[in-house]
Amino acid sequence: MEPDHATDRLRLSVIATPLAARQAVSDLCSHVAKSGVAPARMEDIRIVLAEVLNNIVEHAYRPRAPGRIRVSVAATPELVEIELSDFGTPLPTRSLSARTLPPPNPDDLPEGGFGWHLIRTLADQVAYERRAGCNHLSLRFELPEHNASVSQ
Amino acid sequence: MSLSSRVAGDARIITVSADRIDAAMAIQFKEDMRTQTADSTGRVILDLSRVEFIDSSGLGAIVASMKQLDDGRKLDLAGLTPIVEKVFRLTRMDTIFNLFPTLDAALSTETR
Repeated sequence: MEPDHATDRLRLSVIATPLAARQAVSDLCSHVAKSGVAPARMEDIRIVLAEVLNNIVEHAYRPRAPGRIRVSVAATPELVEIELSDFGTPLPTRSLSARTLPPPNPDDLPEGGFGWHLIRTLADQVAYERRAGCNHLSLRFELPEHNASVSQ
Repeated sequence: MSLSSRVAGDARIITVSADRIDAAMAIQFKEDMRTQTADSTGRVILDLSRVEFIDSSGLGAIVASMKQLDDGRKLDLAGLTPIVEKVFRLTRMDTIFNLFPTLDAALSTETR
């Protein structure tokens, strides 16, 4: 868990457990916040980071055999880029397909399935690739509100 | 135990003292909610004013907490911080629960 000061990119290797994921979300958000991201956009980034890490913890690796997640984040005032990779099972492609969340049925309420909806809604770009037995997920958050405030 | 509770009139108020409801504590939260709601009937108000973060697992745990209540009991939510409110809105769960900005607002409103 060493910060990479040379590129101002924070790189972490996280064991795929819920508590380690929680700590990683906190560390990554602290790094992003240093670039001056607006609080509302920080909320979005924190939600998405928690969801993508939890998905790997819960679905890519088996609970009793948590592998490693490599995650890095680079933040500038205009753009936040997050890269994740893991050696777990491939991501089902349906997770990435954009679709509208149907209104919840009060008589049959879902207790899950919200994670990818939140990721797709809040991130500006989501790209996934399975390469050499490894899952690679890239997320981009564009920060136009910063430019708007600077130009005033 | 991250929950404490008290009775106010016909309602049981459950306060979450943790600053988050996330995947690492979702199962424990659901069990604690079961314990806190077991010996009462009527409306339950969950005070979320100290909760600064929720993820989809935490949201699922709140939904599960409502579903495990006896028929006819209502789970209302009070004191949502901005990020918690955002997660409820984006998942459209704000259409399922009664949401109140504060605990006082929840207590002064009768819900069905």
